[in-house]
Amino acid sequence: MKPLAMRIDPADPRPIYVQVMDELRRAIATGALAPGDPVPSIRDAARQLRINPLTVKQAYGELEREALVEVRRGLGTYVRANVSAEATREVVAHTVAERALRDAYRNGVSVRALLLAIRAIARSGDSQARSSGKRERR
Amino acid sequence: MMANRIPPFVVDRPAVATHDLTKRWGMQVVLDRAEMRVPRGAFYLLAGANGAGKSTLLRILMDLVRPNAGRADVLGIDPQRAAATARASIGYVPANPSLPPNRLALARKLEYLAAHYMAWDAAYATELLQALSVPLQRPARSSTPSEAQRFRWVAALAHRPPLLLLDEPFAGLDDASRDTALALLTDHLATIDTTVILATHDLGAAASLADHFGILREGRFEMQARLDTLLEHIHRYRVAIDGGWQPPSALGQATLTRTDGEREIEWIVWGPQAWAAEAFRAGGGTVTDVETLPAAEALRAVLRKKGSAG
Repeated sequence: MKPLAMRIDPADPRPIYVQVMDELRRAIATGALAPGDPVPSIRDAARQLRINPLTVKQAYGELEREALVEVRRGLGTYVRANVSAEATREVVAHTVAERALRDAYRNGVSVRALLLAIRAIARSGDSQARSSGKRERR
Repeated sequence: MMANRIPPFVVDRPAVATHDLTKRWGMQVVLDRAEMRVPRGAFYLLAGANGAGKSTLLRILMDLVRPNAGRADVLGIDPQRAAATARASIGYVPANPSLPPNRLALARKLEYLAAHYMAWDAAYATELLQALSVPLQRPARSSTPSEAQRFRWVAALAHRPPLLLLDEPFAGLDDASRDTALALLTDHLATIDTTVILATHDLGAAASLADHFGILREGRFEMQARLDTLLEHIHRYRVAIDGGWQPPSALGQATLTRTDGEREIEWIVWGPQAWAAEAFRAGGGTVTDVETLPAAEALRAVLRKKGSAG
């Protein structure tokens, strides 16, 4: 199995197991992981991210409860065949929006002002340039 | 008011425990009736300032130092009575390791270790040596501190012990070796049910691995808990204030750090979120933001605050 590009940020206030969950959701939303694909083994993910294997196990357990992945005994963990990238994108959209909203409040920006700014940026077509620049802040 | 006291965790059969452990060097009390509880399978971060007693405690678990009073329990064994049995189950990376100043090549030293441990896995040891680039032909007396520490990592892991005692195990390593050691450590944890006690200042790397922590202050355990319990109890509040602001005295003991501006303050407070928010409101402030902290930052805030356990 080829490794999956994942990363976590120890300075991020999200618990690490939540960051692992978000990384797998992101991979499903972007198509890096397709329905039926194996996800990295607990050992490989722990080694890659330099985190405790129990933390990876916890993240996979939560994703299993959310019916995003399934454990095939003796084989490993797989993205469930009936998972839709579209539906996962909706979940990810909510997470991204929540983060943006929090950041807006934190900076004294209203919902309306935030939405206007997002529309203006999207319209001006430089959103690609922006997203290819610095990694989004937490 | 003890809102900042977090619920202690209950451990049925701890992997490691100390009872009333006391150690004095002359007049100086290094450990003062220390009560440590490390659950089975925990990755336990042992935190504390220099001289808080961390190294001494680990050395007592190895029976390299004898306590003046109290006892230790290591995987059900009293190391004072059966040091060899206890050590057979322990992988130990000491602080500031040095190797004996003799001409013995590290390769020979390794042979002694292999003969000493029943569970020594020679093939695995070779893998570890290569991963950490340990120069086997070098005489022990001319090894650098970094080489000595990498050698200790190999010695600690190659018998696949169920208990690891790591004392500032990254301190002498450069970034690349440190990263390799971390990867080998995660491999070990994924292979064997292991309990780890890691004593370190390096909260960055440790906080990504640890699930329990203990804070030693002046030889006593100020606090021991699950790391996620700590994170649930610590928040950073940003509060808008005006002329009528009265700092809430209720938060006094529970405030870990504070930055007081003219119109806005930012405090890290320990205690239930609803309780803290109410205290800010009562003082005339408006809470504009509440944030959880990354584990390393939360631990740093607790460590900095003297007597924070109330």
